[in-house]
Amino acid sequence: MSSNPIDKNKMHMEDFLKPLESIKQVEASPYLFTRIQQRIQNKLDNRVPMKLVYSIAASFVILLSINAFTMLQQNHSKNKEANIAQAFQLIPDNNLYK
Amino acid sequence: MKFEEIYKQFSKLVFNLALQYVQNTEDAEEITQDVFLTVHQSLKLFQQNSEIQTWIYRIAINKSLDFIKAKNRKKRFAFITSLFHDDGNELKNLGHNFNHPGILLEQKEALESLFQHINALPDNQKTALILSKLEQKSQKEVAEIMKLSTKAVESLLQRAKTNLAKKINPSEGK
Repeated sequence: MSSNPIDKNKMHMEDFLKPLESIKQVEASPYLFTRIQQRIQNKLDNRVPMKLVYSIAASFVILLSINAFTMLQQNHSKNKEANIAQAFQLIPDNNLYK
Repeated sequence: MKFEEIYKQFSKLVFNLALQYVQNTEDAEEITQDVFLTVHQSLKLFQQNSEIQTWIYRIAINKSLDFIKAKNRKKRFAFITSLFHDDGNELKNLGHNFNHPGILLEQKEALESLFQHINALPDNQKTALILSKLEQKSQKEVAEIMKLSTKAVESLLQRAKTNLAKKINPSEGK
């Protein structure tokens, strides 16, 4: 037998933990697998199809591109009008008395 | 490996491991469901770098610890709400209900008190103790499951035992 107090403490602790070894393994409920399958099915049912996600994303991209294109076109035509007005020395607005 | 085969092979292991963490059949069943849901989702992503059993052990440990944290959070929230609304039912339902089917009736009291001390340990010490003492895993296996070195596991177990000794007999730990 060891007389070292640390070893004694260790042995005492091991004795104290010994009842843990008596715990028996038990079987899970036979219905558990059915419940898991149900939860998997629910998850699959609630999942948004990727096709729908991609098509929504694509329509957003198209909408944004049309917007950007229209804005650029508008800018371009404004510049064009200004250039023509300058070339023909036209008054670009309706204010006659400046 | 098919999901059903995995369930047949490992459901007992997962359920019993969850029981060691929560000591309650209903909670352990809920954890088991969560574990197999994750296994089903991640089966395609599972890389054969580690054994499937080690992988399932890791998922079960994480799910058990997450479940305990969530339950404690709910308890705190229910306590705060009970201060404003006089409805103690929710708080009662969230209380710890010791109901471990693997424990013999004559040892229930002693083990309930021991588990109370084990539950108060930090997560990694608790996991090391459960794996080595309740799951009868070697230090090498515990190290592999916990992704630690054998030395680190040895030190965790030592600290767990010291902390338990302090909790059980406060004069002994000094």
